[in-house]
Amino acid sequence: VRDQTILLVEDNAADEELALRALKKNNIRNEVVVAHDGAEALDYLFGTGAYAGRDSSQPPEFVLLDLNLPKVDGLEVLRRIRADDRTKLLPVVILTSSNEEADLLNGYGAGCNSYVRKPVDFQQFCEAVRQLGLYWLALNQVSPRTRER
Amino acid sequence: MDGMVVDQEHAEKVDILLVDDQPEGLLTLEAILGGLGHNLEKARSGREALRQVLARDFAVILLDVQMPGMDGYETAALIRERPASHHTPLIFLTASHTADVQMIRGYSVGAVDYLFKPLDADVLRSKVAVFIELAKQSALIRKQTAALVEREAEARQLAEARAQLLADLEQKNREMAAVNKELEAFSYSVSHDLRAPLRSIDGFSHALLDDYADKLDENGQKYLRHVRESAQHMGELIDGLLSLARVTRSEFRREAVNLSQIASDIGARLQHRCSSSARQVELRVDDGLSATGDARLLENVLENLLGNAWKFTSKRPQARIEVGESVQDGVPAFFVRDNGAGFDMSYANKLFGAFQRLHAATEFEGHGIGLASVSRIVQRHGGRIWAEGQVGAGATFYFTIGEGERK
Repeated sequence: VRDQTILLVEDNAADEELALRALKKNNIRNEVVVAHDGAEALDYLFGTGAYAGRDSSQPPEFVLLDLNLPKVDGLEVLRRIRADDRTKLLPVVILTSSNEEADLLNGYGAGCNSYVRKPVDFQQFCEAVRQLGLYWLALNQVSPRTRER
Repeated sequence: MDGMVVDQEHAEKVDILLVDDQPEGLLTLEAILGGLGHNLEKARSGREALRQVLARDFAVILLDVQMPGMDGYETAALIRERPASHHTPLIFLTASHTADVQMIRGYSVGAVDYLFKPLDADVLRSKVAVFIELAKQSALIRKQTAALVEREAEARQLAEARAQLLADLEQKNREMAAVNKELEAFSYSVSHDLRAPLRSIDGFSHALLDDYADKLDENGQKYLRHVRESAQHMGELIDGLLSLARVTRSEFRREAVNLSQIASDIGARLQHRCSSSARQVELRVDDGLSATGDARLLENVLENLLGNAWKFTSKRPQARIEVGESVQDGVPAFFVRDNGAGFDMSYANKLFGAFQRLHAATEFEGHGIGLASVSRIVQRHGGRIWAEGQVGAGATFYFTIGEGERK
């Protein structure tokens, strides 16, 4: 497993802890940066606000993005990621409670790479995180441009 | 009038006013016109004529020009002044003085004529007949005009009523849209917000079992497992509710649907899912089952009915499931029949309510959402669903797709 950062965008503290626990359970030891709302996520990605000075040419390995977020919601975060040259090829996995058709359509419409619904059953969630880690960290070959930058 | 057939319109009597100060004159007129079969009224002076004109409408008025007191012209002028008799035809009777003819010609436009005395009976009759005909036609036209006006008013009222209905409908539509939007927001909130705490309950119970198993005795661990089961069950109930809501508000696409194909595909999936188990299920799907409706919703119906049949035959060594079509009460209905656990017909009315279950969860799992969904879908197709069953002897679910929705 590569030593690369994962950006987790999650406003719910319990869900954050469960996500971190699921990553740990699956031996995914990458650094996880947690953003608690959409604005913070954008600050991290573009080196602004609290993350002023961060090298925005070093994107995370992938983003786990919740949809229901304070300040800037998940879809808007995704749109801004896609609109910016630095992040337009960044893998984004929507990780949310909803399996409403509209959310799925909007998510894919805005250019997410995967859409995973958080199951209630922690074991199922763990399995989902395991597969996500396996796919995005080991199996998938990301676009060379994402790495160059 | 001279034929055998008496035309209703022409048979009607009209009123004719004869005005002459000389009784002989009146008598002559009566003698000539009596044969026409109309009602002849007589006046001996202009004043008397005016009284008569005030009382009723005349088809034609014959007016002697030379009368003492108010003469024929003065009388005619007063008759014309009254709006109701403004258009009443006048025939002046005059001695053949050129001056009179000039006077009459210059008198007025419209239905005015004159005759010279002594009167020629044929000419008088034919002139009067012409005016009577004219009067009748005017009356007819007035009647038709009135009818037209009335019809126009009716049409206007109809148009107004229609506009009102349309406005009502639009208002209802707006209200419906608002309710739908609210319902959508509600569903969304349920989908997002209600499940989040359940994840915590399950996740941290799992964490406790995982990390602190050594600090919990057997009972403690059992309680936590119950907590997790309940959280997961509630998650499934929420999902069931959401799918039920979706069934009601999803878009409806009308197309030809091959039910035989869909049922066979579902059957294959069910067979595949339990290919590892030793279950023997004989599934028979009749060919040519088709309907017009929403393919996705109809698939949901068959998925639920076949899933149920599969579930409730799980304790049969030789399970049999049949999908077909038969005539029930004179109406063709599709059916899904199994030889499974069946049900007590006295609870049949509970089958299609949300969260209603006829079997203990320990016996057969389920949330009581499937048949509620099925029922709503069938309703959206304008159809009907019902079931027959017997405890231990299987069940048959029948459903129709509304009139005009079938193949």
